[in-house]
Amino acid sequence: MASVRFKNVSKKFGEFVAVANFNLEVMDKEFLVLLGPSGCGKTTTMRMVAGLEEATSGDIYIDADRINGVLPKYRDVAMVFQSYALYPHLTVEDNIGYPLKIRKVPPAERKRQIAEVARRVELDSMLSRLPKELSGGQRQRVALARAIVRTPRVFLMDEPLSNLDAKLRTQMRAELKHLQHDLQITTIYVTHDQIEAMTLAHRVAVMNKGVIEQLGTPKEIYNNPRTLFVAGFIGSPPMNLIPGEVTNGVFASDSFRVGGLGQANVSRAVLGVRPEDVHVARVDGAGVNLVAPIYSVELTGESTFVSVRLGGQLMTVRADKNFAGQIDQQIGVKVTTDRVFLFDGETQYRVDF
Amino acid sequence: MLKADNGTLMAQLRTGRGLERWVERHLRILMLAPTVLILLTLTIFPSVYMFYAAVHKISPNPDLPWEFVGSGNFARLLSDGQFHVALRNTIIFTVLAVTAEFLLGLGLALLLDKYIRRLTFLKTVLMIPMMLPPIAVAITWKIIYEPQFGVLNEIMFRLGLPLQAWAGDANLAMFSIIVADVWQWTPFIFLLMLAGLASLPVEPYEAAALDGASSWRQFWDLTLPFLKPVIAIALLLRVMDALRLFDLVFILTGGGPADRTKVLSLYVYQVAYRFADTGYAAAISLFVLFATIILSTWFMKRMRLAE
Repeated sequence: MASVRFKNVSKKFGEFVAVANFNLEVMDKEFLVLLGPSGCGKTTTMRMVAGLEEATSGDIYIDADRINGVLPKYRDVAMVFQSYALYPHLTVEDNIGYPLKIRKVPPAERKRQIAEVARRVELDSMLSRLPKELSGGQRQRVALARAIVRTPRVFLMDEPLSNLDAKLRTQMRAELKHLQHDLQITTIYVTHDQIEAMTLAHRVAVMNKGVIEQLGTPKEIYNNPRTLFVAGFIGSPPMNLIPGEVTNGVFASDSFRVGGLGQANVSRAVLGVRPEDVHVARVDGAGVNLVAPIYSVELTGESTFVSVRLGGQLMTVRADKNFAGQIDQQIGVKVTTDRVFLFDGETQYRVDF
Repeated sequence: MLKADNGTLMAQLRTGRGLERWVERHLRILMLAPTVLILLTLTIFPSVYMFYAAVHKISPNPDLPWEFVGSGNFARLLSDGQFHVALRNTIIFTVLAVTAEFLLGLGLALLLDKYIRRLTFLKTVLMIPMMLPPIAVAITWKIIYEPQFGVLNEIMFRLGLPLQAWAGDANLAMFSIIVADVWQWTPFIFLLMLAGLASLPVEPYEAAALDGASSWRQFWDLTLPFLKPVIAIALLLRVMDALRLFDLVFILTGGGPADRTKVLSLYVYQVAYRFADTGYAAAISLFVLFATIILSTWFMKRMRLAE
């Protein structure tokens, strides 16, 4: 159906650079997630595709059509807004049918299409209600139905799940994924929630300060973070990032030492290791990297996250769900050396070893 | 500490004697009393008195007693040609003036909405006509319309157009009054509409733009429905005010020429003070009052139901 291509796109609001020299190609039928903290330019990027913002410089293409300056209605894209942006005075049926009405689809055909889409998002029993009579999840579905009713070239979704409660969000996430698979429509999805990004995306573009820090499949992003920012942003609980020094392949920070990092020498280094790659060990166990007091113990059900003091910061360790330790008790910590990342504190990039 | 002090004070009040205790118990009534008294004297008494007058034949001679005529005065409304003329003129004025004010006010608000938020000065200027006393507005327009020295005929003359008698012309008199009223009250609608437009949500418009709606469609499908409550209030206030139009007519035309601008309020005034028929004047006033109440109630119900 459609690919979306950004070529050297920048967007400034006055002096503020929201998006800087942005290059990206979203493939046909791809589910691409723009992920980043608030203010990173992800929503602005999406709004430029919709035509709600104009790029300050650069070109945006849908397939072969350059769409800079093209009115939103001629771009054939559909958007689901964070606030849903339903028409409050229209019924569910009229909300869903509005794009068809504008396109002068005959009433009988319109009714048929509305019914079909409504069934798909399980709204068929609520067609005569007003948005204010619906729950958050139902409003979300109306917004979704309004977007899919006219089969656009590109779907744009701006944090569509962020106003839902946790349980509903998980459910809607699955439905969105299924829907996109069914419809096979190119989708750009904006979120600050890395779990949404990981679960939904074919590819994730992690954005920070208006630029893409890393573009890749969720697996690549998680297993091979290119920068310190990506490493810290992806994963829950986040990766432990410990500043220190690397000499001849040995990382040292206060009482914490990790060896086996090849021949690396980095004066301002940051060592990254995910909680699941750190283990609790006996204080006098062999190959223990750190002995430190427990700061807190959090049981999540499937496992226990143990925080230990390391200098001025905390290090999170994933332990077994049956872990029984007391606060202030000394424990040993052992790092899986081949699952460790090393970053250069100056350039913020990962250092291979 | 504070709490203890308060406690003591309350205890004192509770156990206080005589006047202090009485004041404490009747505080609410005492506070309300002045307002209630003023309302009674200035609003409720005259209203009741008007009901009473409306069912009597009142002689101009104060020594003669009032004669009870029941619904007689109201029956006269049916056959009184002068009343019918005044009713017709009032309806014509209200419909034309309020329609013009609404269309102009809304149109200006839509045109200037984006720009005027910074121009607070302009808003202040626009409020001046509303703040002027109606008499001052009427006299201003009387001078403008003045056939020999008025600025309007001066302009007509300079443009090479035929001079007009304006307020003195049977065909132009009502038009002249409407223009003066539009001048005074369009800013009112304009400001209300601006306030309404400023409170509109942005996102439905973005959604509509993506759904393919043109600006024109967005106006009909979004702006008008969103503004409906504000429009309803603006129209209601203007209609209620237009129905009791008096000052402009009194000053500009006196109801003439040939009764072309005689409206209900002016007719009531004439019946009461020129024909000294107070009972009948009260009956006409009551008719106008009830017509206004019924009209506005119907209107409010309709607007709310449709919401």
